[in-house]
Amino acid sequence: MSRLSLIEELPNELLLSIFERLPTLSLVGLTLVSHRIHAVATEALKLRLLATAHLGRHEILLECYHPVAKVTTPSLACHARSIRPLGSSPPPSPSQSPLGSSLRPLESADWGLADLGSLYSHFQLEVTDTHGASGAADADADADADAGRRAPKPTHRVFMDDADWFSQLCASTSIVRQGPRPGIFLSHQAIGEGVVRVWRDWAAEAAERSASGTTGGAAAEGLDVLWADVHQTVGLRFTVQKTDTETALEEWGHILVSTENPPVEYILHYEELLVRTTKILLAMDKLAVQEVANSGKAIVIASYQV
Amino acid sequence: MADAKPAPKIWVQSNDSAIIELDRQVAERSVLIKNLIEDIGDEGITAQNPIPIPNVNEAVLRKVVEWCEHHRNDPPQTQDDDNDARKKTTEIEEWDQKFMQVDQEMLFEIILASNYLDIKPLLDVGCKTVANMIKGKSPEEIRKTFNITNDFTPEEEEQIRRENEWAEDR
Repeated sequence: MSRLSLIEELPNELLLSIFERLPTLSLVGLTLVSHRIHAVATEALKLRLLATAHLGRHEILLECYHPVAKVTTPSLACHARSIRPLGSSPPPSPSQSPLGSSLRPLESADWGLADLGSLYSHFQLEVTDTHGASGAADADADADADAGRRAPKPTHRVFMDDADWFSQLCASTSIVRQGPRPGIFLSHQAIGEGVVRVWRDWAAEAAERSASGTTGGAAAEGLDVLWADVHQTVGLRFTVQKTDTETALEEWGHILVSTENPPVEYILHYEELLVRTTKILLAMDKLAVQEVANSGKAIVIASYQV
Repeated sequence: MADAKPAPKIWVQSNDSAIIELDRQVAERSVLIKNLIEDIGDEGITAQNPIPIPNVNEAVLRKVVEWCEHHRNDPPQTQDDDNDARKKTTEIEEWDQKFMQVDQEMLFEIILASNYLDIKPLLDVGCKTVANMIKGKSPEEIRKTFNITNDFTPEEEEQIRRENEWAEDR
């Protein structure tokens, strides 16, 4: 006679509080055990996914630089906006509590594991120079979301000489836990590293879209994204603006030779950083392991002014 | 302040009618009992009029009391701060590990009892113990460990495997 399984007799909330303690990969394994366990493990994964939206004390940092300007390009802090599949329309009223409203699609009942992989976390980017003030800005975000959005977006100038087909940007995204002072990380986990190619054709088309005001719509969203890797883990959405290169070049005494591909310069306005939400989830898992291992014994090599 | 008087006592009764005497301080590890004593006053609780614990049998109740005795002087746990990182760790202190070396039936009874009696640190140890039994095992090993019947059809299993592809490292 088959005995009843004791673990399956536990009420859901107790099963959940057991599963909460498991690493994400164990939860994924649990989904294959039985229908009942599957249901609770899925719920735990879902909760964990929603929790990544808040990141806790973690931050996502993006370093995006032209290969020759690695040192001089400031890293960009990322502020969570929403989690949703790519190309779906942005949350209707982002001026409300920024996360509460944006997560609503996830809370619907028909949300399943299959949709996990297609979810992207969208982040607004900000230059980290203002880091000291960013905490205060966050607190005001609810009340004053509009003011927050008016803050200038970071930009990137991309120059393509004649006969250049593309320009490159190295993009590395990581999740960190900030230490007591900015710049000191208690833990660090890479999410994705790659090269973003800004193609001449793409830039020209994107600049046209920006000029005609058709960006930002759900349909155009996919077009404006440049991916840093083939798996589309990390992407950047830009609006592109063409600069008046010819006058600039003339000022520099550059002689224009008429070619098919004249030198051009574009200003890329960072609209959003997109990161596959599951990647953040897995990265946060590794961070948790690091933090437990490190807790109590930190090696900080630094000079302090006392 | 040190008290010269003998420690005040509390009596609890299991669902199989066993009456257990314990120090009030020990009993108050259970938030349920603590609130109950605050509500009715400890004069109302005597050996003749014990607190009924209808969901828990004697063996389990004695086990829970044993845990409370050992942890009687633990500082009250701080609420929720730094909960996040701690929740995921599955480290258990040595005494608790030994305490939890019981058969599965007892283990799950302890979890249920600590949940009912609202003894969070004990519930925590119980959940961690089960989590450790799950960690690093394949689905088949988990079924074996907990005597779970696989009620998926091969098609369903295949479907779930596909849905889980995002978790594979690439």
